[in-house]
Parts: sequence; C-alpha cells; structure tokens
Amino acid sequence: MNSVLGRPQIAASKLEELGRQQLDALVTYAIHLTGTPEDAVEYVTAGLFHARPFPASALQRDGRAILYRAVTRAASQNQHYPPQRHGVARLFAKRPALISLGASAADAARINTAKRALLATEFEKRAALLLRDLAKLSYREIGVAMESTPEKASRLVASARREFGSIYRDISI
Amino acid sequence: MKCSLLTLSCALDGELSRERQAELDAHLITCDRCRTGLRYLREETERISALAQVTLSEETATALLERSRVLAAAGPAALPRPPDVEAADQMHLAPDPFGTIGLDTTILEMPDPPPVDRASTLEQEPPMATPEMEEGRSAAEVAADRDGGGDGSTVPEDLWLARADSDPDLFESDSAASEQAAPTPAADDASGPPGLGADDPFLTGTTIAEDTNQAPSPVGDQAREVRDPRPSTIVVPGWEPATSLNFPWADTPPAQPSESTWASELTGVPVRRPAGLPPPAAALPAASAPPPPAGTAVPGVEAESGAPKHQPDTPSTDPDGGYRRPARPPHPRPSQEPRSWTRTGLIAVAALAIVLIGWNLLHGGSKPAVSHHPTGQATASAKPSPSSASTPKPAPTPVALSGVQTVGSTGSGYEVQTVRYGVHGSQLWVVFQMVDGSGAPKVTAGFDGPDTLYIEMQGVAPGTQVPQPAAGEVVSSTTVGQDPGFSGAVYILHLTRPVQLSPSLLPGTESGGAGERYIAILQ
Repeated sequence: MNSVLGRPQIAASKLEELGRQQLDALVTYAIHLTGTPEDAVEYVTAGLFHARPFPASALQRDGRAILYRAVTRAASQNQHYPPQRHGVARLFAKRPALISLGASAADAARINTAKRALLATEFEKRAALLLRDLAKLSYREIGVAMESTPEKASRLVASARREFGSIYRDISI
Repeated sequence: MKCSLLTLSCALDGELSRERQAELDAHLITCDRCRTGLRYLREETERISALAQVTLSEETATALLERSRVLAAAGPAALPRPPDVEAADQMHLAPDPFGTIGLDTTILEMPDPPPVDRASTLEQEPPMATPEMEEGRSAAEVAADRDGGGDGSTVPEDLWLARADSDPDLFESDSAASEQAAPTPAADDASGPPGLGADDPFLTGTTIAEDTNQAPSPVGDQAREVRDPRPSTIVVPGWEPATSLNFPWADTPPAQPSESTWASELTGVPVRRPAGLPPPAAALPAASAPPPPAGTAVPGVEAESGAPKHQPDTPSTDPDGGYRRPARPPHPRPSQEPRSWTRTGLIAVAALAIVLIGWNLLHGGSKPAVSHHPTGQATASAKPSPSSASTPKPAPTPVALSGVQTVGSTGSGYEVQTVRYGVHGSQLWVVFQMVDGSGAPKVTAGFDGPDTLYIEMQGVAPGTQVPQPAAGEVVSSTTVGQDPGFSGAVYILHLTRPVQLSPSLLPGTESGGAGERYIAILQ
C-alpha cells in the first residue's frame, strides 16, 4: 500500500532544507551572473518557486543542480518573481518590499576587473564558468544546470575559461 | 599525446580519467606551452573563485524562502511526517498521480530517462574554434585530422602521443581529440545524460498554476520527445501527470464511467477501485495527518498556501465512500489578463475625465451665459467683451400698451418729416407726415397708462425735430421715445387727461406730394 499523503510536504520540506543550505551560494551565483543584487534576488526567488514541483526523489538526487538550473533558467529568460507588470499597469502596481541582502551583497556587486571581464563574456559561458569555478559543480551537475550533456558542459567550461582569460588580459592592461 | 585546451581544462577540474591524467602529467614534463596554458587556466579559475561570496542573514533567508513560497509549501512544522516516508523516499517511488489516500495503487519504479546517443549529440555540436584554425590552418586540414581521429571512440592510443611529438602546439584541438579528451564521467555519470527525465516538470509539461510569467521553455529535441502531448491535468506541485514513461497504461482508452470508475475524469486513466476496499480513512492507519474534512481538497494541496484555493465541484465523498480528487483549479492567467486590462482602462478613463474637468474649469468657467433678447432673439455673440461680462446691463422690458390700434401693413423707408397739431372742435388732430417711403407703414398706437400715448411706426425713421403742441391742449408734449424690441420711430405723447384715440392713415401729403400721413384723432 502506498501512501502519498505526505509527499507534497516531503518535497517541500526537502526543498526548504536544500534551499536554506544553498541559498548563499545561489544568491552569490545569481549576483555574479546578472551583476545586480535586485535582479539576483528575484531570479533566485523565481528559481526556488519553479523548483517546487520537483519531487523529493529528484531533489535528493540532483537537488543542488536543480536549484542552479532553475536560477539559470530564470536569469536567461528574465523571469522575475514576483512577475513584473507590463504596460501602463506597471506604473500603478504595488511592488513588494525589497529584500536587502546586506553588505556582503554590496561587496559582491562591486565591479572590478575580473567582474567586468566576467560580465563581458556570453551568458551561457558565464554561467558555466560560475557553476564550475564558483559553485564547484561537477560536469555532470553543470550538464543538469545548463540542460545539456556533461561533454558539452566540459567544452563550454573550457571555452568560457579561454574567453574570460582573453577578455581579462585585454582589459587589465 | 595530443594536448588541447579541453584536456587541460578537464585536468584542472580533475575530471580526467586516471590513465589520461597520467599521460598528461608525463606530457607536461616536456611541454612548456602546456605548462603555461595550465598555469593560465589555473589563474583564471582562481580569479573566479576569488569573487566575493554573499552571506545572508537568517531573516533574509527566511524572507526570501517565504516570498518564493517554499516555506508556505512546506506548511507548518507541526505537520507530522509519516514514519515510512523516508523509507519510501529512498525507494524512488513514483508519486501517486491520483492523489488517493490509502488505495492500493500499484507502485512503479521511476523509469530511467531514455538513453541519448552521445556520438550523435557530439556530432551535432559545432566544434569549437580551434587554435589551429585561428593560426591559419585550413578547415580541410582540420577535417583531415578529424577524419583521422575517427569518431573519438576509436582513437588509437599511440595517436595521443604521436600528435604531441609532431605538433607541440598548446591549444591543438579538434573535435576528435576533444571527444577523446572529453572527461570520462565518474561512475555515477555512466547512466547517461543528466536529464531529469520523467521527474522534470519542465519536460513533462506539468502546469505550474501560480506561474503567471512563464515564458516558453526552449527545451531541446530530446525534451520535446519526452514531453507529454496531452494537456496535463495535474497542477499540484510534487505530482506529475501520467505519461507513457511512468505509467505504461496511460494510453489505455478511458473506460465508461461506472460505479467503480474513480477519478477517471481527472486524469484520463481509469482506475478501478477494488471491491471490498475499506474506506480510505480506515486504510491509512500509518498516516498521522487527519483525514480531510468534507468539502476540502487534499491536505497536501491546501498546506501549500495555507488556505483552500478552490472548492471541489464534486462531493468530497463518492457513493463508494472514497474521496474524490478536487477539480482542477482554474488557471490564473485568463482571469488576471482581463483584470489588468480593465484596471488599465479604468485608469485611462479616469485620467481623461480629470483632463476634461480641468479644461472646463480653466476655459469654461468665465464664459458668460448667452444673453437673450427680451423678445426672445438670442444674441449670437460667441465671444462677448469682458466689459459686458463684468457689467451686465439690466434686461429691458417691453412696454405693455393698452387700447392698441393698428393701421397700415407693409411700408418701409419712410421718415417722419414733420408733426402737426390741429384743433378741430373738441378734437385734437396730430398729423405725422412721412415721406420718402413706399407702401403703407404699420403704425401701432396704444396707451401706457392714462396720460401716455405710444405711437410706434414700423419701417419709419423718426424726424430730427419734434414740434411741440400749443399750451393748454390735451397733449402737453411730444417726445421721441424707445420701445425695447421695436425697430422704428416711437413717439410718446404726454397727455393732460385721458382721451380716446381714432387713428387713420392717408396717402400723400398736404401739398399733394408722395408720402403717407398718420393722423391720430384725440377726443
């Protein structure tokens, strides 16, 4: 006999636990991916929101990669959460209060040479580079997060390193 | 050994196999360019790793999780967890798509995602712009190297070292070598691509009810193959629709509803409730959560938002005693779009009304009312002068005459030449000689009181001089007056006593000239 009574709660509690564990890393990744803390907060929120339907088994198997995937997807598709209004209504929409990330976020948002070179790379390569070198994801997890194969993830990371290094050396002169 | 950027990058990440790593280490001893390239890659990795880290406070983390509804979905911490939940979770069981409680639905192992042809996937990948091409090597040469390398899986072992001896270029790379140098996945990677398969809500097309800003997901061909073409009917997070992957009988045509058909209209998959099955509440001894009360949805659904989002359109219990799954809640998008447009429209109308009212106040407030002539003729002055607006004249009132007598009809162009008085016995004749006109002018005479006689001549101009009667007559004086609303000559005869009037109109003049004579006989 199978009981599914607690499955939504299981997945939700698993996601909450996972989210609390990875929240700092997710926000760090999103800030360096987008460049602005405000967008990063909304993308992380959107990623967590879209990660809710994942079952507990998937979260247990690829939880970290799923969260990074959701955040990457939200950032690439410009999915803010709460959704942004369009048209004239956006002028009258009541925006929720901003979540202040604190001084550490301001430090992360500060532009330096490495950050400038990072933001000059392509989005996909920037994401792959951050997932590998900042979030320390394996190639398999990068493949999950980037919705590709590990082989493609490895080549993406290699080309991202070359592009980032080239840009960094150019602008650091 | 054939060294490449990909090989060095993979070696830096520790993703090379043990044999490949050993070969690379041996190569790095003799290849200075590879050592330099590896040092560059390591520096860039350290630069990325040195980026500032963000540390959130507990309050910020809680607020962010609450905003993303993760905490709301988790529900209160007091919700007990069934004791067998952890064990069941470890079994990777498929979630129950029917939302049933305690029914003996068959437990299926979640099938693995379909295998992906890695070779074809890699072939479809465009090769990176290799340094060979950047250094001027033709594409044909690179293609020849690729052909020599085969598909990557059959690269001879000696080619790895032979290429290194012949071409010590640091970033020599081609697709074959890249595939050869591609990292060998770890043991847990051997199962195939990291696609989430049936667990992936992005791929299975599960509708996210609260997502109002979901853009179309650019999933790949593989994902499109996995996507369930049928519209999903399950919107509860954590559950997935029945697909051919996780439920092989999903394509079974739905059975006709009968007494034993249960929830078939919700999922499209007929499930026959076994006979003699006890009610679900009794079949859940291990479930610590209380059975849902009548009229509420599945507890897991309501715990997500804290309040029931919708009411089931069917009774909570069916005739068999089981719980019916609540009806699918309406998608929020159709109801939010019109509301947004309605509000926008109302705002626009209100703004237009405010503009019109302001324009009226600015331009229409000082506009005076159209002044009407006492006789009813409206003055068509569109822009009255400010002086007339500031000092309006009192409205003149026409003279109300009594004992009115009229002679003549249509005459015009006359002018009163002279006024004569003649006493004929007890009568006083007042003769008005009119010249230079045509026709018989209309002359109206009437009394304004007992001592005032008005004589109004239409189409006649008054004379420049008005002779006065002799003293002691019934007419004390004669003046040229005005009657509002009358155009023509108006003579006012001031009487010393009430008299009777007998008017007459005679053609010609006393000397026989052209003209008209109006004779008022007063007695």
